[in-house]
Amino acid sequence: MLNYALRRLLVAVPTLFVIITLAFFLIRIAPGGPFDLIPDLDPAAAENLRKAYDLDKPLLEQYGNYLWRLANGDLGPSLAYRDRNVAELIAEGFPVSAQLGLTAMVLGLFGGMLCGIVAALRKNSAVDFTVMAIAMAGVGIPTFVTAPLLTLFFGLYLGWLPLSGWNNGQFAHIILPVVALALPTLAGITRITRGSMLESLGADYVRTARAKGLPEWKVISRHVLRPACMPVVSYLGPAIAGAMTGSVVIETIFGLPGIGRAFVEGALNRDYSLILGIVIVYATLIILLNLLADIIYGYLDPRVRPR
Amino acid sequence: MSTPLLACEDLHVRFETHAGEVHAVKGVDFEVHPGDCIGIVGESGSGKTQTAMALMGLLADNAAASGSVRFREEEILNAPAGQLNRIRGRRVSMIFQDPMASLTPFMRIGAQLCEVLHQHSDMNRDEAKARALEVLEIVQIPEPRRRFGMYPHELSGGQRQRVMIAQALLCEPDLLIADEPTTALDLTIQAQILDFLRSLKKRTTIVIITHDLGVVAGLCDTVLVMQEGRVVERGATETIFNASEHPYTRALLAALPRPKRVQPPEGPSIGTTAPGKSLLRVDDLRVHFPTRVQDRLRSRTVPLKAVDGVSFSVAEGETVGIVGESGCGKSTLARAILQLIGSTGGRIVWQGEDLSGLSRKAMNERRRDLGVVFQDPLSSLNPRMTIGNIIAEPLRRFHPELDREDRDAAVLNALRDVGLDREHRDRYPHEFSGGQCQRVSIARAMILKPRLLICDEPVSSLDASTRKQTIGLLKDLQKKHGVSIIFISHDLSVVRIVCDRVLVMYLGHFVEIADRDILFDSPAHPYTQALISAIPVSDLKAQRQQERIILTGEPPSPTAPPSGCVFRTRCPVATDICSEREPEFRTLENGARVACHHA
Amino acid sequence: MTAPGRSLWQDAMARFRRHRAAMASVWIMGAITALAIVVPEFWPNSLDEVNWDYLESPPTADNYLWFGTDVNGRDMFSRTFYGARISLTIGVLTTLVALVIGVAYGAIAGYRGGTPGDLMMRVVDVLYSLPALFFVIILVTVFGNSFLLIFLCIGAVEWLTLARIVRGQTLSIKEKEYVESAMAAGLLTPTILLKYIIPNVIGPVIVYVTLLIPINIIVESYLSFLGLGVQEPYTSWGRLISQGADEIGTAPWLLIIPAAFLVITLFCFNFIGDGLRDALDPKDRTR
Repeated sequence: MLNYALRRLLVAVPTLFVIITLAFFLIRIAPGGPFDLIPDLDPAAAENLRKAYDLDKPLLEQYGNYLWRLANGDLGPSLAYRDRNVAELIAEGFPVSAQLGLTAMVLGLFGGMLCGIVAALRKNSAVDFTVMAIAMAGVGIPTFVTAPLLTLFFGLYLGWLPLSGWNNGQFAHIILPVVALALPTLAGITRITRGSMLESLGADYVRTARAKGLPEWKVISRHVLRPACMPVVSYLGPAIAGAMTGSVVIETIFGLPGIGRAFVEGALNRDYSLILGIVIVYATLIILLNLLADIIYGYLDPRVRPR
Repeated sequence: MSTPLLACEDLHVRFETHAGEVHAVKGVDFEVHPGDCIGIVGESGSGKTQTAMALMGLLADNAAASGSVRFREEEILNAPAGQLNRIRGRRVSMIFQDPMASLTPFMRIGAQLCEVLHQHSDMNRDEAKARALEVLEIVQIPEPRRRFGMYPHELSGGQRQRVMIAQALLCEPDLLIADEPTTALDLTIQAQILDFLRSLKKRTTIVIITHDLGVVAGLCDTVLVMQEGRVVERGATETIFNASEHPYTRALLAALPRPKRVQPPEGPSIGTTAPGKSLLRVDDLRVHFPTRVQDRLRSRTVPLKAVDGVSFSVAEGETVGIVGESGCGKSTLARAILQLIGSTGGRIVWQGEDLSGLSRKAMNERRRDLGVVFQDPLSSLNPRMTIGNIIAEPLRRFHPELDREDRDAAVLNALRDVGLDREHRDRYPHEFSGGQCQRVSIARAMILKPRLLICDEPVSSLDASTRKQTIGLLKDLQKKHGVSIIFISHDLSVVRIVCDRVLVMYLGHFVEIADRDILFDSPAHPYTQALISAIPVSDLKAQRQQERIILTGEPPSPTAPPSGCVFRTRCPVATDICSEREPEFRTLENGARVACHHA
Repeated sequence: MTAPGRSLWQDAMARFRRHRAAMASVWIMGAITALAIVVPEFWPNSLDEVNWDYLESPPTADNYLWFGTDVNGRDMFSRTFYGARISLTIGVLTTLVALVIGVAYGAIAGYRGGTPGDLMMRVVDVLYSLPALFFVIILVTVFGNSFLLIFLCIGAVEWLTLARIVRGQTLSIKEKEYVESAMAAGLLTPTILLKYIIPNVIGPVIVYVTLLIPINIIVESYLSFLGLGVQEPYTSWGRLISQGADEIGTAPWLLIIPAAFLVITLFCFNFIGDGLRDALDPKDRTR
């Protein structure tokens, strides 16, 4: 298992390299530059700025410089906030995004599995139909619709929860963003869990377990749940990517100081080094989390476990 | 008479489906007394499996059972799970058909065995493990301690079925119900498991559910024959086999092969004409597939030797049978001859030219003389095309000059040849039964009047009665058109009816080549002998007198074949020389050719 | 057995017509599409005309302001259906782009098979593990947000799943015995591709395409929501929702109306997709 993880990590390095290269050149071949948006900037000053940030060098040299600095852990200076560097900006925003994303993923994963299991065990009951109707809505409605609607209802209409702001991650402030972010994941996992539970309940080996005389709860907990988890684990990869996308919107709507919002602002300001830095962070996270999901999958299913 | 162990009265099972109610079991009565061994026999859809499931409360959610089932006077039909669980696994155990699907794939064998003991006894961990290992010994699993910690997918099919049996025997049940226990297994493994079940008769009462009368013949004292949800005949096994009254039972019996020294039922074999000149010659053909083996951080590539140096020839008008168990390379051989798979070495000489050296285009031209019929009837036909278009396809390819009317006429002719009607022409494959689909496949293969027809397990997925008709059809077509046939099958009884000459294949090699009668009457190779002794026959006396050769173990992997003779690891007569030298083919006095140091 | 045979397509059509939710969705989508075509052309209030007397007015029967007006007094009825026009067009066009790339890539990877095919899919795997929206955002920032570029960008990113489906299907169908039979019968490669592989691959592709349209509508809405999509005075549902979200305290209809149309559309496409899936690939297909 350790070998397998190591091998996957070895593959991850070139993958990351490809992504960095792709993102770097995509951004640089664009017409226009980061300083076009500064009003009344005279050409000489612009030239100076370009020089200061190495943007006047040939593209390949810039690329080489970037990689070299990256290898030394330096993500470079921000082009829009000229007194800050990218690493600082990311270090500020990351804890916010991580807390938001992690809480939402935990809620989505466990909440979704619980709902799915209950719905499957009470198949075709009122509980099942209610849960599945909500799940269908959750899958279908995008976060940028649910989030304002939640704010409208719980924030404005009922007045229970604050409308926006982070306030150092105070509980009341993170409820709405977390729920809005978790909802699509929760709904997706509910649907998948229910489907895989039903499939697993119909398997031949479950019949064998019943024929052994095991009580129903033992049949479910030992022979049904584990295979039912597997499609959920393989859904985690896309779910993580989805949640990261969602967090960009959620942070914008609720005005949370995370890296998602920084990314959007960076895109609007053409802050190349910030965008690139955040892409690297996200890509690394996604690769690591996918690796984790694969390892869990291998743990759950001995048939795909590498020897 | 003693009180019955299990009494089933007027049992009905109904299924609620989208298409309405299906009445699967329609009033079944029977009693099982201690020490009995009862066989319940019927074709698929006869309700035999649903009967067994109803007994144990294992029916699907959409099924309802009514009537009465008493176990030692206690009513258990539709009993609450708590009551059933005192009986299930402890006093009545079950063995299911497909051991791969019926064992939980992600639990170790040991854990699956021990949980039965923990449930039904107060054994502690060590006691349970000791008992589980003891039972694994009883079911003759090699290295039980090692297997104890393995997962089902790491065992072979036969071993998995032994684990199923061990699981059933753990609590020394009063009654053992086995649902098709050997159907998913290869012939020699099937013989091993049947032999073991026979030895179990002394220990426990057994009910066997099967479609195969041959299984019943060697094992059971009493037989129930089921058809369409009803028991149509019951009696002692001797009576059923020797003096059955019901036409359905007789039809089932008729589908079984006859014992030795009786002429095959349908008169003389197909190619009674003297063998003509050679049509196809295969010389030292090898097909190796590179397979990757993961080994620490690196992966190595090792050849999987699916076909490893086989030579034979087919004469004009001849029918050659190739038999072997699954994985022996017989289907790969067929595809290699057709050049659907590239060969690694050797020659395939077709009418004087080597097919393996031809360009794609030139090879495609040769295909007009080569027909093929595959195993799975439905997946052999393009679901998006009508039957008429499917059959006409080769005509369009090789006779583009034909106009629509000529082509239609040819298709209608072909349909008639295989016993289908003209209105079938505009229908689609999914509207047909398996047997009909196979007729369409045959019609397509025969429409260009090929000189050689290769049939890969053409009847294996068909019911007994359909199988017989399809074989008859092939024989008629051969008589009419004089085509040569290579007939590939794992089923010796079918090969015996169809073929002039039989080639026995094991692990990518031929081990014996002989004329049919010689092969079946006096098999020379130990493997052939074992295969033939495992064929179930309809004559009960013959069946019981027949000397059985039970092979031990299972075929080794084709990625690591044994040195010397490939069969030596399972051979009852193997000696030192077998591991040192690969046996050459020798011709015996009766004309059979055999590759064995001891034959 | 005297009636002429019914092909799988005919069977599928009949099954689809029996799927009530899917049929209702088809009608609803037909209506929304018709309005999206007609309203911006013929409605008395145009999309950028300011009604000074009705700034941020709730829905009213006056002056045909059935959906009210926004902060600038512009008619929401007109704007909603103009937004529908943009959103639906982008949804369909981006899907077409994705379809072309995905089918070509997947079919080549599948039919070619072997190491090159595997390599092609490794590339897809790598791209797949990235959140697509990030790349769309980069692409849009880089190349500016013109209408043409937006749909090219979305399409260029959303083809991955399609490529996987097509390759998986092609691979499994290539192994089917009917394709082997066709090869053994000496049929030529173009015939095999056209008559044996493509017709059997196409079912799941159609289903996925109906599901991809709403996904792409959402992606465009995300972009517009973040201010990276279509620009004033043009609008799309995402942009309307974004503007509505800002005014949520004072004028909830600005959010609720476009959001309702967007959600209805998403559900309709999902129902149609479900209906097509049931119709094209029924698990309990009776023989």
